[in-house]
Amino acid sequence: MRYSLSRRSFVAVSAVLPLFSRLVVAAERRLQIGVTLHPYYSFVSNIVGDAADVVPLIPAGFNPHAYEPRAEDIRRLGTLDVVVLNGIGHDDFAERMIAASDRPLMPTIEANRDVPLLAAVGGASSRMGNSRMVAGQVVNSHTFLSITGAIQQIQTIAHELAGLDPDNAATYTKNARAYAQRLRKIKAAALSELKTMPGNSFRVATIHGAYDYLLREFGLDVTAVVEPAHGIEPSPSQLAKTIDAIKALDVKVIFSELDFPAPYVETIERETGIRLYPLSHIIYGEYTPEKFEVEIARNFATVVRAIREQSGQQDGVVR
Amino acid sequence: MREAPQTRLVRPAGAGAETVLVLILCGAILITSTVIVALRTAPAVQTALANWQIDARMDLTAAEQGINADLRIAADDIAVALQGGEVPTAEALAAEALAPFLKDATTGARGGHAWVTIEGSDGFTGWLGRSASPELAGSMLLRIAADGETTRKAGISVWLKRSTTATVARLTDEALISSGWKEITIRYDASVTRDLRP
Repeated sequence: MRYSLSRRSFVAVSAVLPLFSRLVVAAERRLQIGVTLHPYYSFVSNIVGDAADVVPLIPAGFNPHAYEPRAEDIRRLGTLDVVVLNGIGHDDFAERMIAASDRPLMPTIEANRDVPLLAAVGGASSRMGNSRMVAGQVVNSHTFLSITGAIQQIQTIAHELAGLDPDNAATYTKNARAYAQRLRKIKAAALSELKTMPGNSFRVATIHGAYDYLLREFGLDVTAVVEPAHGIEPSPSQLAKTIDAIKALDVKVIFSELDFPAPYVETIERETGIRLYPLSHIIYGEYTPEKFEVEIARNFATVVRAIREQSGQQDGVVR
Repeated sequence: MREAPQTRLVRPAGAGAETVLVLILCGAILITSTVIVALRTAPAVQTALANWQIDARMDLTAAEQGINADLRIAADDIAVALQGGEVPTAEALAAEALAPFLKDATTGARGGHAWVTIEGSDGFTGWLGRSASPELAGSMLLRIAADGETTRKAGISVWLKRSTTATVARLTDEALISSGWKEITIRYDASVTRDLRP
């Protein structure tokens, strides 16, 4: 009898032990969240704090505009629980990587699901009769280059992560709200440097079609985009037409790229006499939680400086 | 005895036959690819808007697009306050640095809206921004379910009326539509080069 009880206990313990240990491992295992671009690394890191790990899909130093997935990057995907996607044109490689990985049905978070998207406009801009819009369905993918677009995505990501990891849901919500508050203060501080905004005659152009969302925060519309398409340099004849168009439109400021200067950009500055102000695309360098805050603050400061210098405002006063 | 000279006809070098064959092949490839593309092309799915709706991407000015985006993220903070039983005033929202309630240099460039709270009507609470310059941006209305429950379909909505004298008597869809308000709709379009999973 004693023998039979011990044996029964042994069998019961043997059956339960693996289940128990699996539960313990599951409880101890932190959520592994994949991200495709630097701003999403900052967003997710600030949302999860110490409660989960954030894993970049692209190693630091690669340009996401021209990234081709490598075998080791695809292999790393197998360790992830969920991937946060831009999803509207800046990380289309991610879906192909997931499809080729060990987990082709891995959950994804569409960060831009609730963001009011702007139409993509290439060439010398639709406002110059060169529309490249396709029934309004091709959208500008740079929602992460504005504070409003960033906060909307942070809210969506926090909500989705809370659903995937209910134990940490309250932490994610609290962290997301605190992070959004900090971002709002960056915007408010930058705008407080301006006394007033210039009128409709203050026209701006950008080299890369990435800053429409950022300039919307100032009530500015982008009059011309120099690149004929996302990440594509203009041909000499396109460049000549663009220079003529910029002169004809009386553009006051051109926003260029901080991280990939191109010789043709200097040609535009020389030929038009219009000053260039470099903005960060926030997709280069090391992945850090504070990267987005630092670089978006610098972008806001640059736009404020451009407005003050080129609209005749000094010390916040219109002259 | 000398042989009579023979005459041989030498045709000029040319590739007429080969050219024709290559052209036929090219034509066949073009026709085949055209047929395949035509057969596989899926028509773009466009959701028709009702006449009381307006598309945020295509039909708004730059200033209206900016305010619409600001209102939608402010709605998250406002909903939390509503869930706690508090109806935040426009002044309180400005003090929280929430755009577009906060007055800054861009306010005038985006229409110079004056914001007021429209408390509890028909299960909704509203924040009305009356525009001073409808040519820049029309008057805007943020409407949120009074209990702050934003997961419902009508939980959060933003409305537009291009007028300086826009008023709101009631907050139901019918009342807003009949007084000339249009609901701003947003739509999500994933990248056209993605092969979306079903």
